[in-house]
Amino acid sequence: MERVFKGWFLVGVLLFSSLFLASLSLRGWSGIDFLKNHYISLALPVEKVISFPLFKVRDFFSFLYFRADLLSENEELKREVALLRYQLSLLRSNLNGDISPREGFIPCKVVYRFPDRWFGEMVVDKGMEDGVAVGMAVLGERGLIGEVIEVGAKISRVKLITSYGSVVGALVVRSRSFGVLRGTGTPYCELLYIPEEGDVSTGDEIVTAGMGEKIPAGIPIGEVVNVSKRGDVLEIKVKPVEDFSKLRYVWILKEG
Amino acid sequence: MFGYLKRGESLIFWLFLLFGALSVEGALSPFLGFLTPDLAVVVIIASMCCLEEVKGLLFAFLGGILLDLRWQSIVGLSSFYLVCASYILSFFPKKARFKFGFKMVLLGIGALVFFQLFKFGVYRLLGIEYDVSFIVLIGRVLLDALIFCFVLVLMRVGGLRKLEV
Repeated sequence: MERVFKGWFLVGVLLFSSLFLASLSLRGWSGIDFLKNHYISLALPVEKVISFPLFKVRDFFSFLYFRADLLSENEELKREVALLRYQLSLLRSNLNGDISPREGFIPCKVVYRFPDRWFGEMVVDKGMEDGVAVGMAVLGERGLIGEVIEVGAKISRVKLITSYGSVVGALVVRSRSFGVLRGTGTPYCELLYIPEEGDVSTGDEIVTAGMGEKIPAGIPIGEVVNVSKRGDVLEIKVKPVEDFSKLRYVWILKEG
Repeated sequence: MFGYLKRGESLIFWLFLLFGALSVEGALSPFLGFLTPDLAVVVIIASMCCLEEVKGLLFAFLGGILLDLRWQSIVGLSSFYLVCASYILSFFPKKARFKFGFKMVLLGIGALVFFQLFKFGVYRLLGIEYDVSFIVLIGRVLLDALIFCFVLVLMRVGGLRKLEV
């Protein structure tokens, strides 16, 4: 009886402490961030040491297997970079300073993906020390992939646009219809609040609307793959331009 | 023998082991994706087979905090479900927990499934996103179970056998 009571008492204290910590964490207590940053700073070098040989082995076999493909891909990528640079310069001139020439990108490496939230969040290797701030847009090779939601000294946590409940202001390029892109926790997103009479069809390009504080307009998000009616609004399924299963390097867009 | 025994009963030893498991898991996740095994849970369950009740509960709490610092945005959540799950698991007879045999394999696999279900339930209750696809279950439950069995076999045939209390 005494043992059961002792067990209950300890469990009670530990559960209360867990909830207390969770509430502090939800309130954004700085001590939690301090602990997280120090833990990650301690763990990151260990993980790099473990993953280094794994990356090397994978790269070696990939190189042998894909050598010819890599050479042609390299040529293709060079052409694509030139085209993108041209498109970026066009965007800069069209957006009246939304992306000014002073702004730049912070190149980052994806250091963690969460296996049970693959389309939810990820961690990149740049943080406060590199000028990253909460709310900054994160871009992949083809378009928007998410937004910074938490910043540590050397790492940042990114919420992906496919994350369940994630929202971004979006614009249908062809018809100039505004909507809200919501993540579904799957590789696809939904475009919401487009009325029944809205002009949206399969294949339409979706870009950011620039309604947020830090995400500028005109960044490609995805393409409409399915449109159906649900009540007074359209149910629009969007396939992101980025392949979320292959993210290794991303870019954080600095503030203006 | 006492050296092994003391190490197996030490909280610091298990915390170091958990830190190592989390690091290996972090390093593997870019390669294995959805199939990354939940090594931390394997360590926590293995610890429950060796630690006494109070130490087991404390380890579940501290281990949960380590897990949260590493993976979660809300610190304290994993501690909550791990403490609950450990307490329920501590009701199993000590003999069943300490004796490495067929029963313990079943107990470990059952505990793994129970942990994942419990975690899913708590996350669902709090409205936190948790991906429950078939492939995730393969990685987080079946692979874990295989690793757990492998560790048990190692304990039985190798030097770790002396951990037996």
